[in-house]
Amino acid sequence: MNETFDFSEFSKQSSKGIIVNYFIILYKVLKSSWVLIPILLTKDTSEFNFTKILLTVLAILIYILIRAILIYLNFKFKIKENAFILKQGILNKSNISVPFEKIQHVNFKQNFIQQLINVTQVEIETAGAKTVEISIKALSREKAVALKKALFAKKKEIVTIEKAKPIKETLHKISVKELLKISISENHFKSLALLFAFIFSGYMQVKDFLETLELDEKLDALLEGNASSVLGDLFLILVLFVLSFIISVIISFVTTFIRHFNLNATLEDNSLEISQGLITKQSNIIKKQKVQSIEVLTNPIQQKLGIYNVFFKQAVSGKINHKKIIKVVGCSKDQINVFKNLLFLNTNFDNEEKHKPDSYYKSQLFFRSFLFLVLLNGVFAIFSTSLFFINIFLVPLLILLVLLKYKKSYYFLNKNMLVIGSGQIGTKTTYFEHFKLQRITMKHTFFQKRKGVVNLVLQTASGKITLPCIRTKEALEMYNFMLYKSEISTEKWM
Amino acid sequence: MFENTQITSQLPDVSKLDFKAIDKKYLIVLVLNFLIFGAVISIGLFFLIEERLKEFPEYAFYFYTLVAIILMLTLVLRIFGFYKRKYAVREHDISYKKGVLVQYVTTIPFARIQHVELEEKPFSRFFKLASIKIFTAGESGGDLKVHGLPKKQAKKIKEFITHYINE
Repeated sequence: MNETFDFSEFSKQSSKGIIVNYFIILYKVLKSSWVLIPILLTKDTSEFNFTKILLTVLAILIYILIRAILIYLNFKFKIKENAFILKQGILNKSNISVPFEKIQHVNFKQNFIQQLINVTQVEIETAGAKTVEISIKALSREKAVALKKALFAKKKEIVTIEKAKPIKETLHKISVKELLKISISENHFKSLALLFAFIFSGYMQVKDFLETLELDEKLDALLEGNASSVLGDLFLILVLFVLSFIISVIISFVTTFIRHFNLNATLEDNSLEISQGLITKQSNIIKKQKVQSIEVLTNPIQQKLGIYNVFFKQAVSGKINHKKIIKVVGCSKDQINVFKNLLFLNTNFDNEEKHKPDSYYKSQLFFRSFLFLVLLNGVFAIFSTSLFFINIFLVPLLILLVLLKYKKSYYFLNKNMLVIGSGQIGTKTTYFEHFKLQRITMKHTFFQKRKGVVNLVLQTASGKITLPCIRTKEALEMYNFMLYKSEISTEKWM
Repeated sequence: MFENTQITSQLPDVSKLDFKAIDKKYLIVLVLNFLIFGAVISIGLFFLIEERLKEFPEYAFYFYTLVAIILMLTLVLRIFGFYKRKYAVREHDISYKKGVLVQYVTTIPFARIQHVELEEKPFSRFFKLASIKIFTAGESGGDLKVHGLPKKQAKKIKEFITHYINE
């Protein structure tokens, strides 16, 4: 069965869009007015008149409904002469026209309500100096797919969607069991450190609170029973440590499930489509030219299990928007090779020499860690001198981290690409094509100049990539070479 | 087979670029800007802290000397920094150098520029100077500003780049 959609005339969203609009406005109203609730609650309740409140709430709800309907009625879009045209606005009418070549990617999304009433949200993202983001809140699945096709096809205003199965090659699919494996093997140290700091600062406040509850005495008795207060602190820190570890594992469990549930990467006509998500289903198309760099992340445990996480970094407009960094978890090495071959021209680094940063980088890192230690001990001195014992663990840890960081940083260069390794406990590998370079900077401090090293900073449309402490001669060669590659390239870079 | 070294030796070399200093008059603009900045800071500090300092008159002298030293250092750095600001325009890119404590050399290929702006602030306008602002796509970190160009020169560069982009 085939269905035909004509986009040459203005069309509205699915009428279910009213419901979606309604909840969006309701959510916005609640979000902006929740501060008022505690104010209202602390007021004397005898002043309240229930019918008045009820009427006010009712009036607000009706206002929202009318607004939702008006938004729906005034939202029209069509395709004309290779551009997507959108009219919207109740009083402030706006007429947006986006040429096809400016469209970065088209995403499908379904939040909870949209899943319930079975409509799809289509987001059209563009990059460039001006930020234009178009979001069509409610379309039927078929219409959404047709629209996406129409936006990527050229000069087609009428699109036929075949309901027969499309030719799609599944690259990567993830089961619940694998998701579990991924979330357990994630690096919990980072979230742990954050949580620990959070709980520790919270503990200071909780302490005051406990005093008022007179629970403090019981706790003190318990701790004093364990002899000296240093031991008590140690005990408490251990408990906090274990507790926060458990919490961070749970948090990573939940977030991984919400984000990556039912992850599915498919290949269709040389374009990569990735869909994932539990509450909000999200599907993104990754176009070769939009991808500025990819990052492959793993950690020792995941490496043993053969799990690699891939970040596709695409061009962003304005501030870094994390939505445009698409994360695919739990890939195998082979799958990463497929991604690389799909996105990049030349991924052959077999004959290339591995470059390391100058050993000055190590000294720099040691110096920074030392500064950090001094600062931290200063803070300890203010709070309690008994905290100094943390240094016993901290100093070897910092030394280890510096050595690991130096060991893991390297880069490879071939005629088309740059591969940069970095990381401390985890390992991050960044792949970048020379011609996507937007700006290159060499930067050195007085000390670096004396040692003959510079930091090389590569700016892309999706952020910065820094190569720390490279010998000046090498850096200069790269500077000239990458600029040259970027300047002679005639390919589209975003 | 590709050989990196061969190409590298023939490539245009940034280190051999003939960098041009920015206009001398911009130093006056920098000093004027600094004077305003210094005045605002001093007046602000005076009103904010004078009352509190009365309680510790013995520290007041040290405090004000410290502020004065910091301000002097900033001025000295700015003046030195002025002599480090240099630019170069090639056929396909624009380069800029700056920095005293941390030195930078940066280059943007014209082909990656989204748009160019000419900016004239009041002081600069008085001396017939202008700044060129270059924007690339994506994160704002990719932008480049070259201050203190003679207005004619700045216009010429802007037109050159605009022409290049629209080609």
